[in-house]
Amino acid sequence: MNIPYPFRIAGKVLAGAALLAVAAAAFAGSAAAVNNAAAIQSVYRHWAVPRAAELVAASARLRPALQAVCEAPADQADAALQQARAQWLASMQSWERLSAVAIGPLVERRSQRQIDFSPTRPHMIGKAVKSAPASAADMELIGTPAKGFPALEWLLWVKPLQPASPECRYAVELAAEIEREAQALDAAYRQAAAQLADASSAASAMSELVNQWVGGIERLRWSNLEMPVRVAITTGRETADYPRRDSGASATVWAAEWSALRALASSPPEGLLALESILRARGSAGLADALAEAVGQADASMRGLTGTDRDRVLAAAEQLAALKRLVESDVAPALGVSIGFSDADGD
Amino acid sequence: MLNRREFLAAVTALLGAPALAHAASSDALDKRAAVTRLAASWQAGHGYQVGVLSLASAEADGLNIAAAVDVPTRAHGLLREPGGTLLAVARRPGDWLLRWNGEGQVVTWHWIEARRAFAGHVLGSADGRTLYTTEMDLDSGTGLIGVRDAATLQKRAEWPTHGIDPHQLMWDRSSTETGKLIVANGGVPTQPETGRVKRKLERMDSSVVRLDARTGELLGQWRLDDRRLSLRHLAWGEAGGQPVLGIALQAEHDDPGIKASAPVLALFDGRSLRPVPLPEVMAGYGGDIAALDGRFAVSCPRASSVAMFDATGAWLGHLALPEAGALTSAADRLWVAGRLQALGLHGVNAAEQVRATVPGLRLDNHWIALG
Repeated sequence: MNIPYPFRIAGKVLAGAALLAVAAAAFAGSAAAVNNAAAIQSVYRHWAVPRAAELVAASARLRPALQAVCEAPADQADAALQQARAQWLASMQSWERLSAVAIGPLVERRSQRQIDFSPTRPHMIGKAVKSAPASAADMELIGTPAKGFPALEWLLWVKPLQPASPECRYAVELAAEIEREAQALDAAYRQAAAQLADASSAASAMSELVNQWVGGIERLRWSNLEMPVRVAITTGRETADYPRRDSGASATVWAAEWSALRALASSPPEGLLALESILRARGSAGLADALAEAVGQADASMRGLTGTDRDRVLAAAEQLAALKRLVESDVAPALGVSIGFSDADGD
Repeated sequence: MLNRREFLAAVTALLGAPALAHAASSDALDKRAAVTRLAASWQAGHGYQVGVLSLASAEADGLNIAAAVDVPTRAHGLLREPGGTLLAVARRPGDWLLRWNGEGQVVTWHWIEARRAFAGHVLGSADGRTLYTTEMDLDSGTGLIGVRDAATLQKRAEWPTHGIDPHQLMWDRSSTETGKLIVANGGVPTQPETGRVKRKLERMDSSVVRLDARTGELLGQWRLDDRRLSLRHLAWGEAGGQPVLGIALQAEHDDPGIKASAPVLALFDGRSLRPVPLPEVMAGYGGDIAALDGRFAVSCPRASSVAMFDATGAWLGHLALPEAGALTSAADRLWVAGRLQALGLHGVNAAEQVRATVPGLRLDNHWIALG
């Protein structure tokens, strides 16, 4: 039996009645019932699965939009290109929300490497275009630096697609590959959500969730916000190299990532047990309040953020850093998760 | 120099008699005429810093922050350069290399190129012209040595480390022939896109390699039989007049019992590599290593201890210190940092111990003595 991550760890799966019993107990809100298994179950069911479904839906519209560019008559080419760009933005946004906290299948499948390798390599895109891939099997022979959202961004904005061009045909194949990966993730998350971890594997999954949440906020705080500004300042560059800069979608990326981090920490959609909810259910109301307050402060700093105001970007990064410290130093231990500064994970 | 029995007695006194240690500490205050300065990295309340800590006066009980520079992510390895400037390298997978001075002034920020990450340590050439940094290729996971112009910090060349997860590197002192590097390949597979998440530990492949420092040519490679032991931090000691390399280990066994009792030290004499058995549980993690007076000290933060060995690997005992981490030896003193206290061991004589509080900082894995 192919048991999906994270429930593969102990190789045990509880089915049917047990699942329902524990899930029901979890949502009854008693402190004892909100164990790791129930918490992880809610994250998969009420966060990962809906986000993966959104990505499937968005990416399914991307390939036809690109195909339309390829087939557009000259007088409609620009309109088709704009439509393809809009679909790329929508798909990318869905992807950023899903991958902001990379857990389970997304890590197992190495999806980030498969469809979001950055920076893309234009010379490899050129080679790939010349090889004229026409199937999934053909695409497997092409290296990840020439594929995924970054390669499509380059083809849509830096060297905009022309109808009936080899580049356009390659872009369609890129979109098809993103759609296939989205479908695979969707299936994997659904399978994972339908199964329940035992205590040991649930603890591992909870550890992964919290650690990857910390990793996600660090990616937003450092890689996507502060580092581009610091590099620009220390090297005298006028323009900060924010993510998805070519498409002008940096602020969209930040907002999408932050929305995921915020939801999983403190502002969940219905049914999702956010970290704050788990803390409250386990009797740590004070810490839950502190987390909610820190999330609120970070949220205020992220609202309406654009790359043109470096001071605001750095201020937002500072708020995210404070939130990260709170989760590392207080929330993680309260949830029984080890992150450990003095080196729980070694170096 | 104390013999082994005297050393053990001293360590036992440290372990069993806090009052004695405190009294010794008080005595030692009078002997702090010279200012002790240590370059270190730490986490303060508002974020990460690198800087200089000093034990400034006979009256002071704590380490003072003499200089500090804010850094954007956690730092790891440190290097004092011939001209007196300092280098700090970001913890793996890291983006930056910082040159600063002892007064806390930034000299240069250097950012690594796309698809590369610093792996935590930097080494300088004797003539001061070249720097060697351990790095990772984020596409393939391959370990690399970045060969850099020391003046500009720009990369001149890249050499493979013939492994993954490279960590610390040192000059080879195992023969009279100079110009060779020893590099520890930690061998722990991770996924670069997820930061530090370890994956597929059954594929671990840790080794030490000897490289020609002019060409990068592989001159030798050694592995332990136990493939779940990661070779990471290095210190040269001496046994019977011959150099011997102590290597601090990080255990990655699936079985918690095996992991907890795993060795924390391996020895390399230039020809062979062997683990050193442990008579006590040290939680399977050696965080840092230093050598002094023919002995090795390995900090074991998860066991809140400093494990002591002689240079042949014979067990000498352990010193209790909560979250023992950074180690360095300078002249005749071994400095070890803990969560709340730092200890200065003059040789191994408890009467000459210095015990200083750490002022609200969480010190990182490494520090270096500046004199």
